[in-house]
Amino acid sequence: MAVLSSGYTNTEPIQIANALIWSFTAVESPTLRVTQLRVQQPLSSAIVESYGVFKPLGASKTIVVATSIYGIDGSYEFTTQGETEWNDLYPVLTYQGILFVHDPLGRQKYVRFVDRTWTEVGNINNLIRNAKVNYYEVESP
Amino acid sequence: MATVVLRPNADWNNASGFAISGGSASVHAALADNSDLTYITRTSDTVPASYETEFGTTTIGATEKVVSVNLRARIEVGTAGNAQFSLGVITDRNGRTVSYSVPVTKQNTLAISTVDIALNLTSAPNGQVWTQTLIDNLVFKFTDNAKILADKTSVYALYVDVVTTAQPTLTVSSPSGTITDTSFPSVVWAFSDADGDPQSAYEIKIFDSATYGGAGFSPSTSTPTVESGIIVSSNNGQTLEADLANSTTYRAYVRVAQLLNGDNYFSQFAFSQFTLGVNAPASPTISAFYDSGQGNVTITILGRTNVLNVNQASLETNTDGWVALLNCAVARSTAQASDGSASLSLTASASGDMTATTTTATAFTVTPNTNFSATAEFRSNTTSRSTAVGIIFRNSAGTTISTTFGTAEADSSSSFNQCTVSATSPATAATALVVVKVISAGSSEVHFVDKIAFHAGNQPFWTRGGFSTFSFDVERSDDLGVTYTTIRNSPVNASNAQIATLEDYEVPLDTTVTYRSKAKAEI
Repeated sequence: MAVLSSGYTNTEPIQIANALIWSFTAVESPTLRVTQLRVQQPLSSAIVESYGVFKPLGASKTIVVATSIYGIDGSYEFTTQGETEWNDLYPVLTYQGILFVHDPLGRQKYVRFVDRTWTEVGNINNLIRNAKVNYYEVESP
Repeated sequence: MATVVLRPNADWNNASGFAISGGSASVHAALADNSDLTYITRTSDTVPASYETEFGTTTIGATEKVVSVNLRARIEVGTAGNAQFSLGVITDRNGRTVSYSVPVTKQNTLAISTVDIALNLTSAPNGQVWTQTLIDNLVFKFTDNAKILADKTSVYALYVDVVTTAQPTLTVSSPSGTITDTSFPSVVWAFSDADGDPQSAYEIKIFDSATYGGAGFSPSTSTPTVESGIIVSSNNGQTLEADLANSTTYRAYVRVAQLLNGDNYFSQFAFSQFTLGVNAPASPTISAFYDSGQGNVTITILGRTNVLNVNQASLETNTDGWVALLNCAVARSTAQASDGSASLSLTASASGDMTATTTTATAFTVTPNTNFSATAEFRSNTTSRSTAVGIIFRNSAGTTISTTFGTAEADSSSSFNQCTVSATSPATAATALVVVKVISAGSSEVHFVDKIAFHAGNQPFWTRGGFSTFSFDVERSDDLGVTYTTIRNSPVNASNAQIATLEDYEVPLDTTVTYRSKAKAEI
């Protein structure tokens, strides 16, 4: 079998505006996607730097040895109401892969969820769940 | 590899400090003959004392490089002797500056013998790669540290071994001529090295005729259409998945390397010229839609490549894949052809419309509510009639749902005329047939049909038949089409109807993007 290739066909240019929504997409398994969900403020972010502190004998000042900064990590707090919203969020919340995050401010990054906790309150038929997830910013898969 | 032996040919320094035994005319001459009767010994007992001599040279050819330079010395070391030997290069002859290797010491009684000093210098003592100039300026240094006569060292002969290796060569054998069976031709070459060294690496660059025919072209510096980069491999061929344009002449330039002291020693570039002349798949149609509510772009690609098999499309073998449907007999005819050398002939059984279709066994998969197109070229044997091509849509049970013909056009006995049709498949459509029709033919009248195609989309297009395994490469540009990068999940396999949809969730915001796609198929 030989492979033959056609020439290229182009689309017209497309303007991409910020969708002003939250979206979380497992780009390697894009059926796992949740959009327009409620993410509580304030957003918690942190830049973690692993370091060691040395105070050598005879030195007048401390020496700090540190690793690289590996991105902006943090946590998200989601609120869902009822089973439908929760069922949409849950597969993404428990996805053990890399998610592409797009926030209403137009920021985009890749994250890996690592810890998930949630609380449930209200009527059993219309539970309000507050889920908190910690994440690390990671490279594009 | 070749070895050239150099011998001393001039005193460089302190010849007067050494005595000549055996009657040679000069210190260096005593070291350049092969006689043990002539040798040199330090004259005084003052230490240290050194003698330095230059060597003759050898010409390093344009197609070879120096692998190493070594020193051998025929010497005799005294009872408690201590002598040092090193090899250097003159870096400033007028300033009398010499860069020396680390000296090697021989000591404590050595009967007369030829000793390999084992320097094996793969680079010159000044740290540079060996060059003709450095080979021309070799210097030997002998330092005798003995304090009494019995401990002194005598030097009888000196040899510098210059080891060279030939530059590898190659012959690029393919692709060559006109390539008709693939868009991705394999580049194949034969590696050759006079010394028998193996290939360590290669590099391929493909240039189009406009580039290699341009002023100032150099395969080393000109911008190629596609390049492999330097590949560490002993392979003698590679298939480059490149965007080579059809109906264009190219040259595949290749250079190969052998290892020289751990680095690649490349050949000159050699090339093979070829022209890409494939009957390629049709360029697809592509549309993209940004869903601002969801933040992703949906890209839909429709292939327009003929899904008929080779014989159905051009009737070059027989009538397999075609069947008479109404008022005619079908046959393969070489009387007329628009593609190849044969066509489908329809001979009317009686006066009236006559039709033929592709067989139900070769019905083409379609998706509901989608545009499909068909084309066919008609030619009359004698009498011009209205002709048309149509599509029969069928449901999953094989029952005809609808038949749509395109605009009827009169054929001619002097040339083929193309008829086309585009139609939207019904909601329950599962398969389709192509149907060709001659309207109000006379009894026994013959008409020919050739270049028949069926594909997705609403832009009828002829390509050869026989393609399979359709896929699309999809790329995105965010710099107005200057550069493109492949988007995630591309290439995407197409359905049997040559339709594919891809979502781009990672499109950059607040930009203008363009997508492009090309179809790939197997034959």
